[in-house]
Amino acid sequence: MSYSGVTASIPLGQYGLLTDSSPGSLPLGALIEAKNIILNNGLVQKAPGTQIYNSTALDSKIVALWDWFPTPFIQRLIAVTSNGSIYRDIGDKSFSSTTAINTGYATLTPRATFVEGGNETAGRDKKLFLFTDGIEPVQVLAGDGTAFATISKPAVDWTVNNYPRVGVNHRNRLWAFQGQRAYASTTGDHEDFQAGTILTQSIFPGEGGDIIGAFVFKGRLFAFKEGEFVYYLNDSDVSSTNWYWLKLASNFGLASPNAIVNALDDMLAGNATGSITSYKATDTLGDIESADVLRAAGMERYLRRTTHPLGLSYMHSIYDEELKQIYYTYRSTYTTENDMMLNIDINRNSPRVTYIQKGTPTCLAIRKDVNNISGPIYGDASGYVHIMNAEDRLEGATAYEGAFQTAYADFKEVDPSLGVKQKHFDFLWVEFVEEADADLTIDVYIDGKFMETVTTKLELRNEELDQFDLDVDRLGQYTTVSNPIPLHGMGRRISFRVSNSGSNQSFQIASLTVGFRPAHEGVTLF
Amino acid sequence: MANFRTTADYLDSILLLAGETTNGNSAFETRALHYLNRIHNSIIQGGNEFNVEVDEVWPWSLSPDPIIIDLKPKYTTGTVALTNGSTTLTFSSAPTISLAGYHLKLDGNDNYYKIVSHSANTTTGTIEAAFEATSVTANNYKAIKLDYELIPAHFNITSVNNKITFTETTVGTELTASLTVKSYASAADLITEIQTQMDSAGASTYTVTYNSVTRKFTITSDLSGGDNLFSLLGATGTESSIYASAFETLGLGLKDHTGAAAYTSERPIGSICKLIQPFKLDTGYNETAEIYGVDKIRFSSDYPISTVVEGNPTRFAIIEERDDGYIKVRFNKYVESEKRIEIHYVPTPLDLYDNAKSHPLIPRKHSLVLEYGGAAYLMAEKNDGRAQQYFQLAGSLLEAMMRNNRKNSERVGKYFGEIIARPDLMSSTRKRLMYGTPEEN
Repeated sequence: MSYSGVTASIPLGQYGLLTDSSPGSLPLGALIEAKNIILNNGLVQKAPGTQIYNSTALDSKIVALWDWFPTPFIQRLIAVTSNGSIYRDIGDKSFSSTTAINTGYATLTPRATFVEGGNETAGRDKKLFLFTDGIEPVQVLAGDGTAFATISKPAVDWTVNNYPRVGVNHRNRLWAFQGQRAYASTTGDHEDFQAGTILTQSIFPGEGGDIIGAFVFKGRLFAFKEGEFVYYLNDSDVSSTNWYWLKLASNFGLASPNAIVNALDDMLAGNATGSITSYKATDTLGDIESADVLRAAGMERYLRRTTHPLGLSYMHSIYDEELKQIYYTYRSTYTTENDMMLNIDINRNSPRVTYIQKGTPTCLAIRKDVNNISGPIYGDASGYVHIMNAEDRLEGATAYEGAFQTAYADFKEVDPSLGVKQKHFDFLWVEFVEEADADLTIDVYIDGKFMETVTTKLELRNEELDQFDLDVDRLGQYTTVSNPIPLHGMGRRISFRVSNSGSNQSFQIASLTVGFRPAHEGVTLF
Repeated sequence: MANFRTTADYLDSILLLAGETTNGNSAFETRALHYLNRIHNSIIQGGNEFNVEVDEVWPWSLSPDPIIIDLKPKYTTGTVALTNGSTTLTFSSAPTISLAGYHLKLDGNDNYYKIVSHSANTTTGTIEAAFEATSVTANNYKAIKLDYELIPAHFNITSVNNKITFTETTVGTELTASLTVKSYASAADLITEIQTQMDSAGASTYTVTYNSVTRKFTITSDLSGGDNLFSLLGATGTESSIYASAFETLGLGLKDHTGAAAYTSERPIGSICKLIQPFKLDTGYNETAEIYGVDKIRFSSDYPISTVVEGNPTRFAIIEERDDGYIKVRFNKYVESEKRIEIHYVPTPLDLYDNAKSHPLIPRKHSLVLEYGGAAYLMAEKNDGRAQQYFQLAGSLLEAMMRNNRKNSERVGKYFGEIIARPDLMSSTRKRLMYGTPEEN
């Protein structure tokens, strides 16, 4: 006898965190918790794990990482630590047996930034410049050198406490920003800020604070000041002497020098309020509200409730082109390091947001793998570099929880009258891609109250997933299966928190389907 | 739910059948317990919860100890004085027993006057209404006792109901008072023993009282010992099982009683939910007579008090019945000499509680009626369409339970296996009677 109740599906993977709307108006499939999950391929999947790159920890917290190619065929990994050391790895994952190439800098923070330059003319080395948020003079690593050095010709007014805070490479010049002033090197030597051909110009002096960020997007140089001011350089004239700065905005800015990223056809900046601003939308629409990515995603208030503002000034961001994911580091409440990432999936027109809450990612970078495919990496507070997007669902060697909770569903989408009716919840069908040796734990909430925990195996076939039987198994089989799980309880709205946290356990969930029998509208008979 | 004996087991089953969780998070936990108690009480009282045709006396529901009533002969010692227009009664010599509740008849006067107050060994008392006849100063009389309260006079404490578990500390260090195994002649005797044993087991001082009107015990601690608290451990005490605990005897629910200095019986002592008729009267010479009940109106018509004579009673009527299980009966005769009546009854069951110490009285083999019945009510409350189906199931199970009960009665009965073609032609002594009195059949 078939089930005579109503079955209603909650599709997953269409929405990320969607928490700022009225709970009653959230669409089916919206998530009110999204921890260590990603949403690509139309599924909710447990976020990939990480592999620890260096077996021995660096001497302190890693505050900046750079995948450095001094030549097209030589790859180095440069790491800066908070106690003022710089490490260089040649690919053996040892960082020269954990020996720093530079030491003795003052305490550095994740506001340190790298800028690639040099190679101004044929035969000259590529150079990697290190800006330390004004703590130290601008440092440079020439070619495949083994140590950074202070640039050879800094501007004469760059003295102690007046070093440039950030820099950027634009129009064949290295631009450095000190206080409220922009400096551009000569085109022939990116270390030369003394020759007569350098450019220097104050940017709206007296307005706001220091320039703390700079970025080039679609050929335009943007500068970001403390105080939420944003400027861009009008360099349309052929003569650099006629270039001048224009103000773009004065009510949003940049949280940290590393909080800005270019993704697809957009420039995204983590702003001083903790949200993320889309500059494409800003430029096109002139509408600041519509440029707020997190508000558009409907989870801005949730982010403010779950993160600590002290972490914003150390925010890092990267864009993973392969998976179309943007990552921003945040600091969760009651912690002293940035220890979580906001994951923005831009595979679809509207961004979908989830949280990555494992490890302590203090700085982010992109690194090419052996196949020359760029992937995300991060440095942590313990001195380890993590290669992200690892197949194993382990953070290094540590298991982590992947979890999401669906918004409360009253199934008025199925029938408007169901919105006010009590329902007898009978079954839950979980549609998933089979995973070997994985369990799924589902906490059931009815009308805001935890009701029960149900579990299911993520392997329905009576065989080992890793086993291949000739004439039985099909190659490349990728399909979803589902199984019913009895539910208990009665109420109007139901929500499911789905998770697993076992060692190397993953999940890929396509949908949840609820079987229920409608009851009355809430009048108790007895 | 392995053994399926405890209230917690039944409750879980009801919740599961009704589609609710059993982890304590269901909003219907309390309601499920309410329905379980409702069905449990109903079945014990006869069982017409799901089937109006069912009204059984379940052998397992009977009190293990009958109520013993000593019928009193008339009292005639001395004379009485009564004054016209007064309710005061004066005996020439103080009766050695209390004559309160007796009916007084003066020689030479046809009327009976009910004595509403009198204490043993005192010469004065009062009658229920002013004396209307000519005053008398030394009139012979007889006082007869026709009305009896059906309350157990004694408390039988055995090894299966002699433990009181309690604690005086926040960590719940369990203390056990073991009552001496014997039959206590009165509540006063029992409370003395309870006090003694609890004082001995604990550090606080305990006072136990018995209210003869409410028929409830109250155990009070002065909170001087331990952590200055007092809890009775009906659910979590190791000696709280139905095979050891005195809680039920004292009318205390099988749950933990916490947060107070005093706890009082939930159920009155000797609370009756069903009387078993006829009463058995010990007539002497190894013989018993049966006393059948009739309704109060017919009794007053057939046996007006003015016609009451001396002899063994043959009829009784319930003249007072209260919601707390209190019953008072009147007999149609007063005995010539003191006689003993054993009255079997079904006690009012204690409430069931959601714990492993609380047990329904219904045998395990009939447990489905509790499960399906409770689930049916819960489903009805939840507007679950399956409710009617479960009501029918519960009704069928109850009927099966009734048939099983009768089959069992027949198997152990005197006439099991005998073919009786024309019962109406048999002598009345061999009729098998199901309902009513022999005269009605």
